[in-house]
Parts: sequence; structure tokens; C-alpha cells
Amino acid sequence: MSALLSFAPSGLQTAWDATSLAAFEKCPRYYYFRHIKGWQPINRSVHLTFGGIYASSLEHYHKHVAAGMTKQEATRLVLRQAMVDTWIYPADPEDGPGTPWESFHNAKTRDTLLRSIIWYLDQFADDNTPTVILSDGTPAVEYSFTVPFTKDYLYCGHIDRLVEYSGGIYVMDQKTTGSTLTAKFFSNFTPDIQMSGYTWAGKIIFNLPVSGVIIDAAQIAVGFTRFERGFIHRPQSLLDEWYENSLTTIEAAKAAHESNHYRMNRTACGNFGGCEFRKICSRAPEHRDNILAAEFTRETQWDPLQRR
Amino acid sequence: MPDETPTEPLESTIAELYSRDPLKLSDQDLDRIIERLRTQRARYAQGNMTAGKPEVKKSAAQKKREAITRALGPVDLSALGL
Repeated sequence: MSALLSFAPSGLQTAWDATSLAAFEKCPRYYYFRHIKGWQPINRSVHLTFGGIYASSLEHYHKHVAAGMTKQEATRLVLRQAMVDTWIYPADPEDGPGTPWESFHNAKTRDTLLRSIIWYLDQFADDNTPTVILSDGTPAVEYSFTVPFTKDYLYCGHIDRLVEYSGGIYVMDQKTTGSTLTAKFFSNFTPDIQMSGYTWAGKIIFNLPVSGVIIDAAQIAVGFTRFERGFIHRPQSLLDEWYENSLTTIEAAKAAHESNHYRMNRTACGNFGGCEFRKICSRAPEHRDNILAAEFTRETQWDPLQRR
Repeated sequence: MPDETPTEPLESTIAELYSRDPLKLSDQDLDRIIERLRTQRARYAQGNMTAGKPEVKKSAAQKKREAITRALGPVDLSALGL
């Protein structure tokens, strides 16, 4: 495993992002297993694979168009890339051309992923959210950022696209869900570490009055993909509060590191379908390492400073 | 002995295009997929809630049966004495 950029040699995390902040706030023990030790399920979550390819396809599309490509050329390019990303090539080319990715999920499949990309681009073909062009002439697309959080810590992340809408400036983000898109779906993003972090960082990086985040949500069903656009606003006072809370979280993580005690948050074990480490925490401490080694992998570890 | 299994029709379905190595697809193949997905969306916009339902992938045996049926045409069972 190569050296991690976001951690001091002692193992203390010094570069934070929304994912690691949320992990520690969810449960310090979860953060320890996932971010400090680097354990993750052997089979990557279908939601991460699906959502990741979907968002990067749309992000790349806007980058291609901003670079002067026609919409049809850009669509073709991102479609092919999404198809390649969901194609399993054999290690030995003698073994044949490969096979399509099987998600083992009823709605989030390769077919519905490709459909959702094309339907989104078709629905928003004449969108009124132009990409912000920065003062150096480059489009604000695919922007990985690192900003000082305090003198000891960095905050980093990745903004897909910065857009103008109705006189305001927003970070554009994509979400996929199996749920029906209602006002309640969008209310789940306030409060939210990631959305506040985007807005807070966007203001600093771009030196622009970023108002919040536009979420283009896609409801993925077997027979259709439905889109809704939601606006997440963040006034400065909420951002100040987010900053203070985040610092408290980071200080708590430092204290856990120094005492080498990452407590369990036992009220979070059943959230969102159940924590992936629940079966580990359920076993006697002396057996946990063996179960982790058998059922989890440490092939890649989350490292916020690694550029995408 | 030459393989006399009739070939598939030239018009490829989305499922067939999806089953090919994407790096071997031509720009025309990709345009065909895009066009068909756009047509699906237009049907969905008109109220067809299953317009985007993925095609059921046919097994190799099913495809072979269909190809043979196409080549032979309708079978008259009485001509076979059945």
C-alpha cells in the first residue's frame, strides 16, 4: 500500500473531507475501521459504483462541451466511457472479449445507468445553468480542491461543476436514488456535511459568492429515470456553524487517536440498512481481526488528498 | 461442414449492442444507442412508465431458435403429417 497523503506518520488524519467527517460523526469506531485501518467490504457497493460512474459521466460531458466539442460528440464519448467502465475485461485477452458488469440489483443495472446518463443529457440539453468560467478562462468543472482548515488541518474535496443560475452561483451535484423524489428527499441535505462543505470551500477557492448547491437528483426505476432539481441554500451563519462543528469533530478524532480509543456509537448500528461493520462489533474483540481479514479488504484506502 | 445457422438481422437491438466490447463499437453504433434511448425518453414523457425498461436479454438457444424460424418461415404442421 502506498503512503497515504492525508495522514501523519503517527496515523493522525490531517486532511479531511466530507466523507471522513461524516464517518467520524456517524460512529468513531466505524471511522477507525474504515478510514484509519482501511477496511472495506470485498464487494463494492452497487450504489457507489452506479452513482460514481453516473456523476463522472455528466461531469466529463460538461468538460468536453466547455472545451468546444459538440453535444453529440460529447454524448458519444461519455456513453462509450461509461460502457467501458461497466465492462469486465479478462486479465488474459485470450479468454475472450469480456462481459458486462452485473450489479445484482433490480433497478441499478448497467442498462439503467446508460439510460439515465442519456436521458439526463437529453432532458437538460438546453439547460439554463451555464458553467462558470473562471478569471483565467478555464471552466469550473472537475475541480479537486484543498484549502487550509486551521494551521494544522486541510479540508479537501471535489466539485463537479460550478454553475450560474438565476443570478446566483451554485455548486452542481448529482445524486441517484431508488426513492421517489419529493421535497422530503431534498430536505435530507439540510443539515448536511457535504453540501455545507461544498459551499464553504467554493466561496474560498473561487472567491465568488456561492449561494449553495443545486442537486440534480435522478430516481432510478426499472422502467424509467425521473429527474428533479433541488436548491440547497447555505447562508453564512450556517456555514460558520458547520465550520465550528467540523473543528469539534476533528478535535474529537485527534483525542481518539491519542488515546487509541474509538468508541462505538451504538445508536448508529441500524441506520441506513445497518452498518457494514455491525457483525464485527458484535463479535468478541479478540475475534474481530480474523473476521475482518476474512470478509473485508484493504486494497484501497480512502485518502482525501489523492486527486481523482 | 459449413455453419448454416442463419445470421441475425442487420438491425441490432440495444441489448445486442450492449453485449459487445464497447471499445469495438463504431460511432454509428453509439449513435444508434443514443437515438433509441432518446426515443424511450420521449415515450416516457408521453406517459409510458415502462418506456425505459431494459430489453430482456435472449439466451443463445433462444436466439438460435428464432434465427431458424426466420429462415424456415411459418411451419405448416399438417404438411408434416402432424
